[in-house]
Amino acid sequence: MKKILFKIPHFFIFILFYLKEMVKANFYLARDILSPKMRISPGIVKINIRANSDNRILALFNLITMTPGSICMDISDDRKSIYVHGMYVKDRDSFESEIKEGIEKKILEVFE
Amino acid sequence: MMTDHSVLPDWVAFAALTMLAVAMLLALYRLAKGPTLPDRIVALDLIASLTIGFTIVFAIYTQQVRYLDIAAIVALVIFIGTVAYATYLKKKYYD
Amino acid sequence: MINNLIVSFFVLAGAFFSLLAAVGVIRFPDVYTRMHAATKAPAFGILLFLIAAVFFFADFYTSAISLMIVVFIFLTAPVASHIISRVAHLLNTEIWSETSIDELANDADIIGKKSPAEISDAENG
Repeated sequence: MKKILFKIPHFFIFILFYLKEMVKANFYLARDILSPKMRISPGIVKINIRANSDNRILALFNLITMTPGSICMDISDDRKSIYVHGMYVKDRDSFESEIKEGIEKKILEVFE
Repeated sequence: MMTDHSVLPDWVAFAALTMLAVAMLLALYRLAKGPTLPDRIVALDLIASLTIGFTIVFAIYTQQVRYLDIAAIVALVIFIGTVAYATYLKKKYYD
Repeated sequence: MINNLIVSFFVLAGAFFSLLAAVGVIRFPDVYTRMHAATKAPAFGILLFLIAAVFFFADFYTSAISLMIVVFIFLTAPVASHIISRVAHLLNTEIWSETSIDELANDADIIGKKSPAEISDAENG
């Protein structure tokens, strides 16, 4: 019980973070669609994840799909890695660390 | 302030519905042309979302709160349709 | 009066993002990039429309049903995009020529992944 109460503020911060990311994602998308020249460089990247439970993986999929310039495509059968289609994959490693450090860290804090 | 007497200005409703109609025409173009089957599914998904938006704007314009029920039902049903199409394609692929 | 301004603003913004999604679906070069446009923008547009509806009607019923629609849309939009892009990749849908890297292409982790020749056999046979 105490644990759940402790989680509630984290959860509200998470929702605010989600909304902020979504607004940012839509403005990035608007910029890409309306710019006369295609400035995107898409790519599909395999990322090893630390999230291990069902809830965490669901939240991770949701958040990756709603954040700027990335959608989740598939998960490997041993559930250790996911495939992400990114819009701005200039450099594979920085894209991977961006997702691992930014989004996945938040997920690991909030969900069990 | 009584919200019951506030109305959406006509030109706002007209502009929003026109934008949605143009969006739906573009989506229909992609549905008709779409080089591959997944393209068509994407277009269908988009048309469903536009229908939900259309219904909500219409509810605001006519001040009928009951129209929101339609939006809820469309949102519930169309997702099943998209997943069914994709599952059908996957099944066809594995056979 | 101020309420009307807020409602008008949210309605127009929502319509703008819906239109944006359609333009993106027309303009982007392949299925996966189209998915970006068709997943994020309409969900955001519907969110804005529902905020407008809540400001306009300002009662409990609207708030409750709006919350229900938003939660449902935001739970299902990623699932739909995931399943469509996965099927598209299984079917070897053409990917844009400027795609820099494709690590899903030759990966043995996916059960039953077929080669393009087998797929064309299945489609013809």
